[in-house]
Order: sequence, then C-alpha cells, then structure tokens
Amino acid sequence: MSKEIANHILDPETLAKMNAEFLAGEYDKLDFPEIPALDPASDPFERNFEWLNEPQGAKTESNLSLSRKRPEGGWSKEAGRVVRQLALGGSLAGSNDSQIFRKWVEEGFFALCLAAGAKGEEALMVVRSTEKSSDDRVEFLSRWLATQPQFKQRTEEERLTVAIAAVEHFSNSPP
Amino acid sequence: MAGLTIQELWKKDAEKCLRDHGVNVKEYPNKIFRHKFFVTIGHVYWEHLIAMTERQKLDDIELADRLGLGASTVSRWTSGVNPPAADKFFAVVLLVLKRDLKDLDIGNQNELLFDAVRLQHERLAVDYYKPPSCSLDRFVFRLLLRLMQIPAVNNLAPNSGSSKAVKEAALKEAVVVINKELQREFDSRVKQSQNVREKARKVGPEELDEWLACWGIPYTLFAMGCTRAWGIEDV
Repeated sequence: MSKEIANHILDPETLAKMNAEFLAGEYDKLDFPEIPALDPASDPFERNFEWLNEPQGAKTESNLSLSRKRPEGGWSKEAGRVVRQLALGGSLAGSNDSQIFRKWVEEGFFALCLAAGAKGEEALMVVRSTEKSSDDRVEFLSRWLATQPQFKQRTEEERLTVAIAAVEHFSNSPP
Repeated sequence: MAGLTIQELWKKDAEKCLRDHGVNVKEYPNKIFRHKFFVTIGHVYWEHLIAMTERQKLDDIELADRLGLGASTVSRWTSGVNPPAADKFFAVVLLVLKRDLKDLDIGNQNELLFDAVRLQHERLAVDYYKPPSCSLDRFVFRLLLRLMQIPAVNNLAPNSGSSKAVKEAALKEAVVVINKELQREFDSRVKQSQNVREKARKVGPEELDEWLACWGIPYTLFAMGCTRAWGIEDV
C-alpha cells in the first residue's frame, strides 16, 4: 500500500528459508492435528459466509479475464482506489478517485517508467501504442507492474484494473 | 454467543496500541469504535452514491450546482477524505438523482458490508498501528478469520515475547493448516462442479506472515468493537 517495504513478523532471512522449504514441498510432508474452530459458529471454512463470497461474475485471481465487466464509475475510479491506497495519507488526498488516477498516470506512472530504465520505457511505449490491441497492451502492462515494488504486493486483479485504466486513459488522450 | 475470535496476546498488543494513542481501552468498543465504524458505513454508501452520480455524468461542479452549494464543499465530500453526514446523502438522492430509495442502484448488502469492513480495517491500521503494506481482500480476510482460530497464531503477536523458534514453528503450523483447508475446500468445489480448471490456491509463509503483520492488530481492534448481533461472522 503506502510502503514499499513489506510489514513482517519474522525476519527476512527466516522467511526466505521457510519460503524455500515451502516451495520445495517440505511442508506437504508435515502434519498437524486437526484444529477445530475455537468457536464453530464463526469458522469461515465451515459456515457459509455469504457476504465474504466473491461477488457474482467476479473473477478469481487465477481466472482473470481482460473482458471484465466495466466497474461502476469506470476503470479510472476503480484504479484510483488502488493508487490512493498506494499513497495512503500522501499528497493525493483531497481529490476524487478518478482525478487521483489521472494525476498518477500522467505523473507518477510516467516517473515510474523512466526510473525503471529500458524496460520502463518499453512499458510506456507499449501502453501508448496505437498498433497493438488493447488486450495486448493491458496484458503487457499488468505483467510489467507485477515487477515493480509498489505493485508487487497488490493482487493480480488490482494490477489488471490499473493496467486497463491506463490503457483506456492513453487511448482517449493520445500523445 | 461469542463474536469474532480474539487471541489473548494479540488483544494485549491491540490494547497497547490504543493506550499509546491515548484511548481508554474500556471505552473503546462503545464510545470510539462504533462511532468510527458507523461513519465508515456511511462513507461506503456515499462512495456508491457518488459512483451513481458519475454514471449520470454529473461531476462535482454540477452536483454542487444542483444542491446549491459551493463546488469546493462538494469536492471535499466526493474526494472521500471528508464524506458528508447522512443528511447530505438523502439530499443528493432526493434533489439531484430524484430517485426513490428503493430504486437506488448502489450495490447489494454483501458488497457494502465487505467494503465497510475493509475500509474500517485500513483506518484502524493507520490510526492505531501502522500503514499496511498489502491489501485486505475477501480471501485474505477469510484466512484472517481462520488464522485467529488457530491457537499457535497467538505466539505470532508482535510483542508476544515468544522466541524466534516458537514464532517460526507457529507460522509453519499456520501455513500447513491453512493450505490443508484450502485444498479440502478446493476438492469439495471440484466435486460439485466439473468446470473448475484452476489449481487450489496455496499460501506461503512469507505471504501469511505479511498478512498477519499488516492485519492481525487491525483485525483484533475490529473484533474488540464488534457485537455479535451485527452478524459480521455470519450474515
């Protein structure tokens, strides 16, 4: 969100070691006794938490589609929410979500691309390209955002939202 | 009946956060949390209402014009930083959108509730703990609810006093338990539907550690203020 350094309980070395063990499948061999919910009435895996179900039609992270339904208020509003969270308490307060996104895509995103060197310049070129299809541009940008520290911690869906809004923005206001 | 599960050591940490910010712990649920949460709910409704006005191509200036108010006042409201009180909500419905309340298309109860819970967690984090480094989506919140029911997670409270080895063992247990439950849930979904193509989602130690570091205290502050009657646990 606002911080590029992730909050953690354990130290980075321990977490890196644990992650490596996890990825190597060592955790699959471990077995702990079944832990019943302390209060069965509030066990999210046993009860039907209707309000915690993904809204109908929403895509899960592993099943994202570029042809998602346009959110209420438009992509820029949705993407503005993500950008607002990245700048939590920052200088962007006081504008609405769409304005925040417009400001970010014209300034912050531009700076991000330039700071990222050749790859960043390529991202900027692709997102403003009039030759590639919108889907290709969105997919490219979404993948590139995933490599950027600010966006690493965001969900794939949020990165996709920002990418769609950015492509839409540049399509409507070509250089 | 019990409300949201609260782990003892997490509660101690959460109470310390409140005291560090000059908040009377005893008064927190009734006098502070509830007021803040109700304001957050109002804010969420307001945001959905503003989305509706935007769909009608009304910007801040047009909205202010129709209400007979200054553009800067309305701009402050729509920015979300200072959402207006409920009376302005009704004024916009009646005087600008000119709709019956029952005809408002501002999202369903479940969406509004989750938005309010998420926003409240974000505010609790910023107000009493520290800005989170990751977002709280439905998946993370569901896992958080379950994690807080695993006794070993108590040892992961930031100031639990547990040794590194104990914390490491607790995180390992949490990861194994959660992944086993995710796999079980996924298997049961596959049984019900032939069209599931993706794999079961797995959650690694680093990810889980970050979620707890970011949201464990805000969750506990949230749980301390909730009453069972709201049905946050099971709507």
